[in-house]
Amino acid sequence: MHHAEVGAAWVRRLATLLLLAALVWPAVRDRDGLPLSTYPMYASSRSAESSFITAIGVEADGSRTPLSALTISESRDRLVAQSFLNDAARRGEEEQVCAAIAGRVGESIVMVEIAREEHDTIARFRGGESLRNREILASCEAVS
Amino acid sequence: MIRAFDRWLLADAPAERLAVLRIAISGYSFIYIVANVGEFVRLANRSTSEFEPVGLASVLTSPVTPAVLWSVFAILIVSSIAALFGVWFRVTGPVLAFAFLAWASYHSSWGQMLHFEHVVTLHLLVLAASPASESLSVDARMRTRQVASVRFGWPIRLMAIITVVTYSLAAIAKLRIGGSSWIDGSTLANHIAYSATRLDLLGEPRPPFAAFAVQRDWLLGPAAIGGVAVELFAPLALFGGWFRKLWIPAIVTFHLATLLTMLVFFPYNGLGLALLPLYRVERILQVRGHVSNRRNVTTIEFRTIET
Repeated sequence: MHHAEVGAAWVRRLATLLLLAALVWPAVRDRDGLPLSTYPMYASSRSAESSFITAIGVEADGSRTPLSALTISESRDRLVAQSFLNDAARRGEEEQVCAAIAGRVGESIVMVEIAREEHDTIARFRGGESLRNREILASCEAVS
Repeated sequence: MIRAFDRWLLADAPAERLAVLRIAISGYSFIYIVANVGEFVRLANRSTSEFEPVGLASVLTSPVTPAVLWSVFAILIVSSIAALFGVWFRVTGPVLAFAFLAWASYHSSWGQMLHFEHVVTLHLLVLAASPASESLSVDARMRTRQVASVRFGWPIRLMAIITVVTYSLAAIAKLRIGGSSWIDGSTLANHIAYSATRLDLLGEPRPPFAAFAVQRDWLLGPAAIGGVAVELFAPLALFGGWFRKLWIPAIVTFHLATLLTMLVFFPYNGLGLALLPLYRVERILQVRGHVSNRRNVTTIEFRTIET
Protein backbone atom coordinates (compact mmCIF):
# COMPACT_ATOMS: atom_id res chain seq x y z
CA MET A 1 0.00 0.00 0.00
CA HIS A 2 1.33 3.46 -0.88
CA HIS A 3 2.06 6.03 1.83
CA ALA A 4 -0.72 8.22 0.49
CA GLU A 5 -3.23 5.38 0.78
CA VAL A 6 -2.10 4.59 4.33
CA GLY A 7 -2.48 8.27 5.23
CA ALA A 8 -5.92 8.44 3.67
CA ALA A 9 -6.98 5.33 5.60
CA TRP A 10 -5.99 6.97 8.88
CA VAL A 11 -7.83 10.15 7.96
CA ARG A 12 -10.94 8.06 7.32
CA ARG A 13 -10.56 6.20 10.63
CA LEU A 14 -10.15 9.48 12.49
CA ALA A 15 -13.11 11.09 10.71
CA THR A 16 -15.23 8.03 11.55
CA LEU A 17 -14.34 8.36 15.23
CA LEU A 18 -15.19 12.06 15.12
CA LEU A 19 -18.54 11.27 13.52
CA LEU A 20 -19.29 8.69 16.23
CA ALA A 21 -18.30 11.16 18.94
CA ALA A 22 -20.50 13.84 17.38
CA LEU A 23 -23.47 11.44 17.19
CA VAL A 24 -23.29 10.45 20.87
CA TRP A 25 -22.31 13.91 22.16
CA PRO A 26 -25.92 15.18 22.57
CA ALA A 27 -26.71 12.10 24.69
CA VAL A 28 -23.65 12.74 26.87
CA ARG A 29 -24.69 16.37 27.35
CA ASP A 30 -28.38 15.44 27.49
CA ARG A 31 -29.15 18.25 25.08
CA ASP A 32 -31.35 17.73 22.05
CA GLY A 33 -30.58 19.59 18.83
CA LEU A 34 -30.44 19.42 15.07
CA PRO A 35 -28.95 17.69 13.16
CA LEU A 36 -27.43 15.95 16.20
CA SER A 37 -30.02 14.72 18.66
CA THR A 38 -30.70 12.62 21.74
CA TYR A 39 -33.73 11.17 19.87
CA PRO A 40 -36.04 11.40 22.91
CA MET A 41 -39.23 10.63 20.96
CA TYR A 42 -41.73 8.90 23.26
CA ALA A 43 -38.97 8.34 25.83
CA SER A 44 -40.66 10.18 28.70
CA SER A 45 -42.45 8.22 31.35
CA ARG A 46 -46.12 9.06 30.80
CA SER A 47 -49.03 8.37 33.12
CA ALA A 48 -52.56 7.50 32.05
CA GLU A 49 -53.73 10.92 33.27
CA SER A 50 -52.90 13.51 30.63
CA SER A 51 -53.72 17.13 30.02
CA PHE A 52 -54.63 18.41 26.56
CA ILE A 53 -55.24 21.89 25.25
CA THR A 54 -58.16 21.53 22.84
CA ALA A 55 -59.91 23.66 20.27
CA ILE A 56 -63.62 22.99 19.87
CA GLY A 57 -66.06 24.42 17.36
CA VAL A 58 -69.58 25.16 18.66
CA GLU A 59 -72.43 25.08 16.15
CA ALA A 60 -75.63 27.17 16.27
CA ASP A 61 -77.60 24.29 17.84
CA GLY A 62 -75.00 23.98 20.62
CA SER A 63 -73.35 20.81 19.29
CA ARG A 64 -69.57 20.67 19.66
CA THR A 65 -67.04 19.47 17.09
CA PRO A 66 -63.30 18.98 17.57
CA LEU A 67 -61.44 21.23 15.15
CA SER A 68 -58.88 19.63 12.83
CA ALA A 69 -55.11 20.08 12.99
CA LEU A 70 -55.31 22.04 9.72
CA THR A 71 -57.92 24.47 11.08
CA ILE A 72 -56.03 24.90 14.35
CA SER A 73 -52.52 25.41 13.06
CA GLU A 74 -52.70 25.49 9.25
CA SER A 75 -50.69 22.25 9.31
CA ARG A 76 -51.93 18.70 8.87
CA ASP A 77 -49.29 17.53 11.34
CA ARG A 78 -50.93 16.64 14.65
CA LEU A 79 -47.74 17.28 16.62
CA VAL A 80 -47.58 20.77 15.18
CA ALA A 81 -51.25 21.44 16.03
CA GLN A 82 -50.79 20.15 19.58
CA SER A 83 -47.62 22.18 20.00
CA PHE A 84 -49.39 25.27 18.61
CA LEU A 85 -52.09 25.05 21.28
CA ASN A 86 -49.71 24.10 24.10
CA ASP A 87 -47.38 26.99 23.31
CA ALA A 88 -50.29 29.44 23.19
CA ALA A 89 -51.47 28.27 26.63
CA ARG A 90 -47.92 28.44 28.00
CA ARG A 91 -47.55 32.04 26.80
CA GLY A 92 -51.04 33.04 27.93
CA GLU A 93 -52.05 33.80 24.35
CA GLU A 94 -55.26 31.75 24.32
CA GLU A 95 -57.41 34.73 23.28
CA GLN A 96 -55.20 35.59 20.29
CA VAL A 97 -55.02 31.97 19.15
CA CYS A 98 -58.79 31.58 19.59
CA ALA A 99 -59.37 34.61 17.35
CA ALA A 100 -56.93 33.29 14.74
CA ILE A 101 -58.63 29.87 14.66
CA ALA A 102 -62.07 31.53 14.54
CA GLY A 103 -61.03 33.06 11.23
CA ARG A 104 -60.40 29.62 9.73
CA VAL A 105 -63.48 27.62 10.77
CA GLY A 106 -66.27 26.57 8.43
CA GLU A 107 -69.60 28.38 8.10
CA SER A 108 -71.48 26.02 10.44
CA ILE A 109 -69.28 26.97 13.42
CA VAL A 110 -70.48 30.02 15.37
CA MET A 111 -68.04 29.93 18.28
CA VAL A 112 -64.59 28.54 19.11
CA GLU A 113 -63.51 27.37 22.56
CA ILE A 114 -59.95 26.80 23.72
CA ALA A 115 -59.96 24.53 26.77
CA ARG A 116 -57.67 22.54 29.02
CA GLU A 117 -58.98 18.99 29.37
CA GLU A 118 -57.78 16.31 31.79
CA HIS A 119 -58.27 12.76 30.50
CA ASP A 120 -57.64 9.23 31.71
CA THR A 121 -56.45 8.00 28.34
CA ILE A 122 -56.28 4.32 29.33
CA ALA A 123 -59.85 4.35 30.67
CA ARG A 124 -60.94 5.80 27.33
CA PHE A 125 -59.88 2.57 25.59
CA ARG A 126 -61.04 0.17 28.29
CA GLY A 127 -64.67 1.19 28.37
CA GLY A 128 -64.47 3.87 31.08
CA GLU A 129 -65.13 7.61 31.12
CA SER A 130 -62.12 9.54 29.87
CA LEU A 131 -62.78 13.21 30.70
CA ARG A 132 -61.88 14.15 34.29
CA ASN A 133 -61.92 17.93 34.14
CA ARG A 134 -62.46 20.72 31.60
CA GLU A 135 -61.50 24.37 31.98
CA ILE A 136 -62.36 26.87 29.26
CA LEU A 137 -59.35 29.13 28.64
CA ALA A 138 -60.83 31.30 25.89
CA SER A 139 -63.93 31.52 23.73
CA CYS A 140 -64.61 33.72 20.77
CA GLU A 141 -67.18 34.16 18.02
CA ALA A 142 -66.40 32.74 14.61
CA VAL A 143 -65.60 35.20 11.87
CA SER A 144 -68.36 34.95 9.31
CA MET B 1 -13.15 -7.42 16.27
CA ILE B 2 -11.44 -4.05 15.72
CA ARG B 3 -9.68 -5.48 12.66
CA ALA B 4 -12.98 -6.81 11.34
CA PHE B 5 -14.56 -3.39 11.83
CA ASP B 6 -11.58 -1.75 10.14
CA ARG B 7 -11.88 -4.08 7.12
CA TRP B 8 -15.60 -3.37 6.98
CA LEU B 9 -15.13 0.39 7.32
CA LEU B 10 -12.48 0.66 4.60
CA ALA B 11 -13.89 -1.86 2.15
CA ASP B 12 -14.09 -0.99 -1.53
CA ALA B 13 -17.46 -0.41 -3.14
CA PRO B 14 -18.48 0.21 -6.74
CA ALA B 15 -19.22 3.81 -7.73
CA GLU B 16 -22.71 2.69 -8.74
CA ARG B 17 -23.61 1.81 -5.14
CA LEU B 18 -22.93 5.35 -3.95
CA ALA B 19 -24.61 6.75 -7.05
CA VAL B 20 -27.80 4.79 -6.42
CA LEU B 21 -27.82 6.15 -2.86
CA ARG B 22 -27.41 9.67 -4.27
CA ILE B 23 -30.38 9.12 -6.57
CA ALA B 24 -32.54 7.61 -3.82
CA ILE B 25 -31.77 10.22 -1.15
CA SER B 26 -31.92 13.22 -3.50
CA GLY B 27 -35.13 11.86 -4.98
CA TYR B 28 -36.60 11.46 -1.52
CA SER B 29 -35.56 15.04 -0.68
CA PHE B 30 -37.32 16.36 -3.77
CA ILE B 31 -40.55 14.46 -3.07
CA TYR B 32 -40.40 15.34 0.62
CA ILE B 33 -40.03 19.07 -0.02
CA VAL B 34 -42.78 19.10 -2.66
CA ALA B 35 -45.08 17.15 -0.31
CA ASN B 36 -44.32 19.65 2.46
CA VAL B 37 -45.12 22.79 0.47
CA GLY B 38 -47.97 23.37 2.92
CA GLU B 39 -45.43 23.65 5.74
CA PHE B 40 -43.66 26.44 3.85
CA VAL B 41 -47.01 28.24 3.45
CA ARG B 42 -47.68 27.83 7.17
CA LEU B 43 -44.25 28.97 8.34
CA ALA B 44 -44.20 31.97 6.00
CA ASN B 45 -46.93 33.55 8.14
CA ARG B 46 -45.93 32.65 11.72
CA SER B 47 -45.54 35.35 14.35
CA THR B 48 -42.22 36.28 15.97
CA SER B 49 -43.46 35.35 19.46
CA GLU B 50 -43.72 31.67 18.43
CA PHE B 51 -40.14 31.50 17.13
CA GLU B 52 -37.78 29.30 19.19
CA PRO B 53 -34.80 28.75 16.87
CA VAL B 54 -32.79 25.51 16.93
CA GLY B 55 -29.90 24.16 14.88
CA LEU B 56 -28.75 26.37 12.05
CA ALA B 57 -31.70 28.71 12.69
CA SER B 58 -30.12 29.65 16.03
CA VAL B 59 -28.23 32.39 14.21
CA LEU B 60 -31.58 34.13 13.62
CA THR B 61 -33.19 36.45 16.15
CA SER B 62 -36.53 36.53 14.36
CA PRO B 63 -38.31 34.56 11.62
CA VAL B 64 -37.13 35.08 8.05
CA THR B 65 -39.32 36.90 5.56
CA PRO B 66 -41.59 34.86 3.27
CA ALA B 67 -39.33 35.78 0.34
CA VAL B 68 -36.31 34.20 2.06
CA LEU B 69 -38.28 31.09 3.01
CA TRP B 70 -39.57 30.62 -0.55
CA SER B 71 -36.03 31.15 -1.84
CA VAL B 72 -34.92 28.23 0.35
CA PHE B 73 -37.80 26.20 -1.11
CA ALA B 74 -36.65 27.03 -4.65
CA ILE B 75 -33.03 26.18 -3.81
CA LEU B 76 -34.14 22.85 -2.34
CA ILE B 77 -36.17 21.97 -5.42
CA VAL B 78 -33.46 22.94 -7.90
CA SER B 79 -30.56 21.42 -5.96
CA SER B 80 -32.39 18.15 -5.25
CA ILE B 81 -33.18 17.73 -8.95
CA ALA B 82 -29.57 18.59 -9.86
CA ALA B 83 -28.23 16.13 -7.26
CA LEU B 84 -30.67 13.48 -8.44
CA PHE B 85 -29.26 13.68 -11.96
CA GLY B 86 -25.70 14.35 -10.79
CA VAL B 87 -25.38 17.80 -12.36
CA TRP B 88 -22.44 19.80 -10.93
CA PHE B 89 -22.78 17.63 -7.84
CA ARG B 90 -19.67 19.09 -6.20
CA VAL B 91 -21.69 22.30 -5.92
CA THR B 92 -25.30 21.13 -5.94
CA GLY B 93 -24.68 18.33 -3.40
CA PRO B 94 -23.39 20.68 -0.68
CA VAL B 95 -26.04 23.29 -1.59
CA LEU B 96 -28.77 20.67 -1.16
CA ALA B 97 -27.32 19.44 2.16
CA PHE B 98 -26.92 22.96 3.54
CA ALA B 99 -30.38 24.06 2.36
CA PHE B 100 -31.99 20.93 3.84
CA LEU B 101 -30.19 21.54 7.14
CA ALA B 102 -31.43 25.14 7.08
CA TRP B 103 -34.99 24.04 6.30
CA ALA B 104 -35.01 21.26 8.92
CA SER B 105 -33.67 23.70 11.51
CA TYR B 106 -36.29 26.32 10.65
CA HIS B 107 -39.06 23.69 10.54
CA SER B 108 -38.22 22.61 14.11
CA SER B 109 -37.90 26.20 15.41
CA TRP B 110 -41.50 26.58 16.53
CA GLY B 111 -41.55 24.72 19.83
CA GLN B 112 -41.63 21.17 18.45
CA MET B 113 -38.46 19.31 17.48
CA LEU B 114 -39.36 17.22 14.43
CA HIS B 115 -37.00 14.27 14.71
CA PHE B 116 -38.02 12.68 11.41
CA GLU B 117 -35.76 15.10 9.49
CA HIS B 118 -32.51 14.38 11.36
CA VAL B 119 -31.24 11.21 9.64
CA VAL B 120 -31.93 12.37 6.10
CA THR B 121 -30.13 15.63 6.90
CA LEU B 122 -27.08 13.74 8.17
CA HIS B 123 -27.11 11.42 5.14
CA LEU B 124 -27.28 14.41 2.79
CA LEU B 125 -24.29 16.00 4.56
CA VAL B 126 -22.21 12.83 4.11
CA LEU B 127 -23.38 12.45 0.53
CA ALA B 128 -22.43 16.06 -0.23
CA ALA B 129 -18.83 15.42 0.80
CA SER B 130 -18.57 12.20 -1.23
CA PRO B 131 -17.80 11.42 -4.89
CA ALA B 132 -21.41 10.37 -5.39
CA SER B 133 -21.69 11.63 -8.97
CA GLU B 134 -18.85 9.59 -10.50
CA SER B 135 -21.39 7.17 -11.93
CA LEU B 136 -24.98 7.33 -13.17
CA SER B 137 -24.85 11.08 -13.52
CA VAL B 138 -24.56 13.93 -15.99
CA ASP B 139 -21.19 14.73 -14.41
CA ALA B 140 -19.92 11.24 -15.32
CA ARG B 141 -21.12 11.18 -18.94
CA MET B 142 -17.66 11.65 -20.45
CA ARG B 143 -15.75 9.59 -17.90
CA THR B 144 -14.64 6.00 -18.09
CA ARG B 145 -16.25 3.60 -15.67
CA GLN B 146 -14.77 3.88 -12.16
CA VAL B 147 -13.27 0.84 -10.47
CA ALA B 148 -14.47 -0.13 -7.02
CA SER B 149 -12.74 1.91 -4.34
CA VAL B 150 -12.79 2.82 -0.69
CA ARG B 151 -13.62 6.35 -1.89
CA PHE B 152 -17.08 5.06 -2.72
CA GLY B 153 -17.33 2.54 0.10
CA TRP B 154 -16.41 4.69 3.10
CA PRO B 155 -19.19 7.32 2.76
CA ILE B 156 -21.71 4.48 2.55
CA ARG B 157 -20.28 3.02 5.75
CA LEU B 158 -20.67 6.42 7.45
CA MET B 159 -24.30 6.59 6.39
CA ALA B 160 -24.87 3.05 7.72
CA ILE B 161 -23.23 4.04 11.02
CA ILE B 162 -25.49 7.12 11.27
CA THR B 163 -28.59 5.00 10.73
CA VAL B 164 -27.83 2.37 13.35
CA VAL B 165 -26.36 4.72 15.97
CA THR B 166 -29.44 6.96 15.84
CA TYR B 167 -31.64 3.94 16.58
CA SER B 168 -29.41 3.09 19.56
CA LEU B 169 -29.58 6.66 20.84
CA ALA B 170 -33.39 6.50 20.71
CA ALA B 171 -33.33 3.34 22.84
CA ILE B 172 -30.85 4.84 25.29
CA ALA B 173 -33.14 7.87 25.66
CA LYS B 174 -36.08 5.58 26.48
CA LEU B 175 -34.07 3.68 29.11
CA ARG B 176 -32.52 6.83 30.57
CA ILE B 177 -35.68 8.94 30.69
CA GLY B 178 -38.46 6.36 30.90
CA GLY B 179 -36.54 3.73 32.87
CA SER B 180 -38.28 0.60 34.10
CA SER B 181 -41.75 1.90 33.19
CA TRP B 182 -40.70 1.65 29.55
CA ILE B 183 -39.68 -1.97 29.93
CA ASP B 184 -42.81 -3.15 31.76
CA GLY B 185 -45.02 -1.81 28.97
CA SER B 186 -46.98 0.72 31.04
CA THR B 187 -45.34 3.72 29.40
CA LEU B 188 -45.89 2.20 25.96
CA ALA B 189 -49.60 1.70 26.78
CA ASN B 190 -49.87 5.29 27.98
CA HIS B 191 -48.12 6.65 24.87
CA ILE B 192 -50.43 4.67 22.57
CA ALA B 193 -53.52 5.79 24.52
CA TYR B 194 -52.26 9.39 24.61
CA SER B 195 -51.63 9.48 20.85
CA ALA B 196 -55.06 8.04 20.10
CA THR B 197 -56.80 10.43 22.53
CA ARG B 198 -55.00 13.36 20.94
CA LEU B 199 -56.34 12.26 17.55
CA ASP B 200 -59.84 11.92 19.00
CA LEU B 201 -59.63 15.47 20.32
CA LEU B 202 -58.56 16.68 16.87
CA GLY B 203 -61.53 14.90 15.32
CA GLU B 204 -59.31 12.53 13.37
CA PRO B 205 -59.54 8.74 13.03
CA ARG B 206 -57.79 6.69 15.70
CA PRO B 207 -54.79 4.52 14.83
CA PRO B 208 -56.31 1.21 13.69
CA PHE B 209 -54.57 -0.97 16.29
CA ALA B 210 -54.47 1.48 19.24
CA ALA B 211 -57.47 0.05 21.07
CA PHE B 212 -56.36 -3.53 20.32
CA ALA B 213 -52.94 -2.88 21.87
CA VAL B 214 -54.11 -0.91 24.92
CA GLN B 215 -56.67 -3.59 25.80
CA ARG B 216 -54.00 -6.34 25.91
CA ASP B 217 -51.61 -5.95 28.83
CA TRP B 218 -49.90 -9.27 28.07
CA LEU B 219 -48.79 -7.90 24.70
CA LEU B 220 -47.42 -4.54 25.81
CA GLY B 221 -44.51 -5.69 28.01
CA PRO B 222 -42.94 -7.95 25.36
CA ALA B 223 -43.64 -5.34 22.66
CA ALA B 224 -41.87 -2.64 24.69
CA ILE B 225 -38.85 -4.87 25.41
CA GLY B 226 -38.72 -5.97 21.78
CA GLY B 227 -38.94 -2.42 20.49
CA VAL B 228 -36.20 -1.13 22.77
CA ALA B 229 -33.98 -4.15 22.00
CA VAL B 230 -34.36 -3.72 18.23
CA GLU B 231 -33.30 -0.08 18.54
CA LEU B 232 -30.56 -0.58 21.13
CA PHE B 233 -28.74 -3.38 19.33
CA ALA B 234 -29.02 -1.84 15.86
CA PRO B 235 -25.22 -1.33 15.54
CA LEU B 236 -24.75 -5.13 15.55
CA ALA B 237 -26.46 -5.11 12.15
CA LEU B 238 -23.30 -3.56 10.74
CA PHE B 239 -21.49 -6.85 11.26
CA GLY B 240 -23.81 -8.82 9.03
CA GLY B 241 -24.67 -12.46 9.54
CA TRP B 242 -27.85 -13.80 11.12
CA PHE B 243 -28.38 -10.73 13.32
CA ARG B 244 -28.75 -8.40 10.35
CA LYS B 245 -31.04 -10.88 8.61
CA LEU B 246 -33.29 -10.73 11.67
CA TRP B 247 -32.80 -7.03 12.42
CA ILE B 248 -33.94 -5.67 9.06
CA PRO B 249 -37.45 -7.23 9.19
CA ALA B 250 -37.60 -6.45 12.92
CA ILE B 251 -36.97 -2.72 12.43
CA VAL B 252 -39.44 -2.61 9.53
CA THR B 253 -42.00 -4.29 11.81
CA PHE B 254 -41.16 -1.74 14.52
CA HIS B 255 -41.99 1.15 12.17
CA LEU B 256 -45.15 -0.61 10.98
CA ALA B 257 -46.25 -1.16 14.60
CA THR B 258 -45.75 2.49 15.56
CA LEU B 259 -47.74 3.48 12.48
CA LEU B 260 -50.65 1.15 13.26
CA THR B 261 -50.82 1.87 16.99
CA MET B 262 -49.87 5.57 17.15
CA LEU B 263 -50.00 6.84 13.55
CA VAL B 264 -46.39 7.83 14.06
CA PHE B 265 -44.37 7.37 10.90
CA PHE B 266 -40.84 8.54 10.19
CA PRO B 267 -40.97 8.41 6.38
CA TYR B 268 -37.22 8.30 5.70
CA ASN B 269 -36.79 5.36 8.06
CA GLY B 270 -40.17 3.73 7.61
CA LEU B 271 -39.90 3.66 3.81
CA GLY B 272 -36.51 1.99 4.12
CA LEU B 273 -34.40 4.88 2.76
CA ALA B 274 -32.34 5.02 5.96
CA LEU B 275 -31.61 1.29 5.62
CA LEU B 276 -30.31 1.46 2.03
CA PRO B 277 -26.64 1.98 3.06
CA LEU B 278 -26.80 -1.56 4.48
CA TYR B 279 -27.55 -2.99 1.04
CA ARG B 280 -25.78 -3.61 -2.25
CA VAL B 281 -28.24 -1.20 -3.79
CA GLU B 282 -26.50 -1.16 -7.17
CA ARG B 283 -27.98 -4.61 -7.77
CA ILE B 284 -31.25 -2.91 -8.61
CA LEU B 285 -29.51 -1.81 -11.82
CA GLN B 286 -29.15 -5.41 -12.92
CA VAL B 287 -32.77 -5.26 -13.98
CA ARG B 288 -31.77 -2.73 -16.65
CA GLY B 289 -28.38 -4.27 -17.33
CA HIS B 290 -26.41 -1.17 -16.33
CA VAL B 291 -23.94 -2.93 -14.09
CA SER B 292 -24.07 -6.61 -14.65
CA ASN B 293 -23.69 -8.48 -17.89
CA ARG B 294 -25.99 -11.14 -16.62
CA ARG B 295 -28.87 -11.70 -18.95
CA ASN B 296 -32.47 -12.64 -18.36
CA VAL B 297 -32.52 -11.24 -14.85
CA THR B 298 -36.16 -11.11 -13.89
CA THR B 299 -36.01 -10.32 -10.21
CA ILE B 300 -34.45 -7.54 -8.22
CA GLU B 301 -31.92 -8.90 -5.76
CA PHE B 302 -31.51 -7.09 -2.48
CA ARG B 303 -28.85 -8.73 -0.36
CA THR B 304 -27.31 -7.14 2.66
CA ILE B 305 -23.61 -6.43 2.41
CA GLU B 306 -21.48 -9.25 3.74
CA THR B 307 -18.56 -8.22 5.89
